[in-house]
Amino acid sequence: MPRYAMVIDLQRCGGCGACITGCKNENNLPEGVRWSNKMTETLGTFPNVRYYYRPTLCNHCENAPCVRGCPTRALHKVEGGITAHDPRKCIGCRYCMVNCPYGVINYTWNKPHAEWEDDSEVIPECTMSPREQARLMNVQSWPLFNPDPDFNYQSIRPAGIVEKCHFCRHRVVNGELPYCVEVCPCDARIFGDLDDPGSLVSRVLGMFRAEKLRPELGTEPRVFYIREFCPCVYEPGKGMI
Amino acid sequence: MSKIWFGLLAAGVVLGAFAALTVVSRGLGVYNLNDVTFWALPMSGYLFFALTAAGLTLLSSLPSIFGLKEYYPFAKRAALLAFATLLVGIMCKALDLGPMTTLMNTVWIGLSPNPSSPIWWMAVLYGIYLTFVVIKFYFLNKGEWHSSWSWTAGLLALGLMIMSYTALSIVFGTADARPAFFGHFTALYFAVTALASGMAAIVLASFVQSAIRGGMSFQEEQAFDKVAKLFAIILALALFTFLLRHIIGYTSLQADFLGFRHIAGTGIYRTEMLIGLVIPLILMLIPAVRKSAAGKVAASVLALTGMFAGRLVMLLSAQVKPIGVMTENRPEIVTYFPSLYEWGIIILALSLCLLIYSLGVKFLKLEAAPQS
Repeated sequence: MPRYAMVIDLQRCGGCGACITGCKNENNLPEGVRWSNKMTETLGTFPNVRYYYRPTLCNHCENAPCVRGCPTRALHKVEGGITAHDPRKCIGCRYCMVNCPYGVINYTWNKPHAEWEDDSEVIPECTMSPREQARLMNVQSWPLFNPDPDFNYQSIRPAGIVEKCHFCRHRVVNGELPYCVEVCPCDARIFGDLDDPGSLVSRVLGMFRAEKLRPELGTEPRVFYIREFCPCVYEPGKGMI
Repeated sequence: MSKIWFGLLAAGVVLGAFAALTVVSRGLGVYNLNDVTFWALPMSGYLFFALTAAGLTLLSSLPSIFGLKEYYPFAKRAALLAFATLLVGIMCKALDLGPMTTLMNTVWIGLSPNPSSPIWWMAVLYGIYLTFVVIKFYFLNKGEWHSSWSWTAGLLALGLMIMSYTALSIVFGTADARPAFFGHFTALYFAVTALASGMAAIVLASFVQSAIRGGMSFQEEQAFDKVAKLFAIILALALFTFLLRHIIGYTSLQADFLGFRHIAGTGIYRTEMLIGLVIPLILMLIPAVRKSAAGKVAASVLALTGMFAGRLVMLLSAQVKPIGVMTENRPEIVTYFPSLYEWGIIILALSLCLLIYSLGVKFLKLEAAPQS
């Protein structure tokens, strides 16, 4: 049984957001929901400032507090230690959102992709309405609909339950990479088996000191960050006042 | 009881039912909730009513389980109020889950149990607790004050109250990601405030009814004089835990308490402190006011109002400061104001609770007590 993990090389990450849009397309995410996301920060004060960018996703924690707290086992562990979600069992209590220290679980407050049921023209007397566009494209829900997650999840989850990243389990069990890894133009994401000493994740984690988010909570995240990107230089010396 | 009173309650139920049906058909999108402040007014309604029920269950158990016979005059009334508050509390929680499709999924609480989840224990124990509250009231209403069945049902209701209250405390106590829920300290805070709100509810309900009826029996008056003194002690304890929480929240170096400190500067926090604790305590410490019916009623109304605000204070303290990736593109502290639908759920809960009690007053002779 593998132990899946992801390493994000911040030196390589260009901050383009392809992981975010790729994830949204692959998993048919509704408006306002992001399984793959980012945290940005502006460091320092002008003129000595720098933009800091960190991609985020579910950490698939070994000691996942969301799994421990889920009353119906809707959140559960599956092959490779992936934290999966069963939408049929989710009662929408949002206790997982209370327990997740990373803020990577979303509740679907409204009907997903309802904007494609809108009958009003986007530009009056110029363009068609979203509903008409969807009808002409002969799609049931939304034009970018991807049926692949149905393999072992649900392509579009209903409103009233939570949803989160599942490491693209429908791809991983078929020997493919999570889609955010696949679409990253900088090859900043490495996915593999922690228990395989020959896997690239094992090798890079042996090379670089990896950072995990909020390790003090004991959740044991499976997403690691290496090589913080920093283009800055300063004059070496014995220290300054 | 006047037709106007029942008319008002019916209007509240109809208004609230409209909000509830909208939630059940359209989902929680009609609430002003989001992925940062996701447990707010409907959840605070649940906490308020469920904890008030806990206090009332204890009060109704004082004569039968603990042998404090002087409290018999309000045991039946407290038992009915415990049922009414618990029922509407659970309803508030149900209307905080999602649309009908989500509510159907609750069958998985039984079919796919997770005993490591405090929420699972909470759901199961509150379900059984409600059942025994009903059974206990059934026996009291039959006049079986001393039968073994009645005593057993009362004891089980009390035991399940303690267990479900514990599970509720652990729900917040084990939320390591959100220290501003105040961890296991919440159990202490819940205990004293549950007792305070339970006492306030029974005092208010009894005195309003006696005002309509035209007076109380001597035994009832004696019982309530003792309750008023206990109420003062419990309010003092609640104020002590409130101040303790305040000190912890302000002296902690953890950034997570920033949300608490923000809420502590708002009106709902002052409502909890002044309206809910300080003023009722002062009223109950003045002997002349404590002995008067008006004083007791005023203190109870104020305490209940403050306790309700306190439940929201507790929930928002741990949520208004976004955590993790939720901080992205959001201010350091987010704002929250309930939507009309959220208020509608609270109006429904309050109206239903009062309707059940009023019907009890009209048909069930709540002042009944055993002869010996």
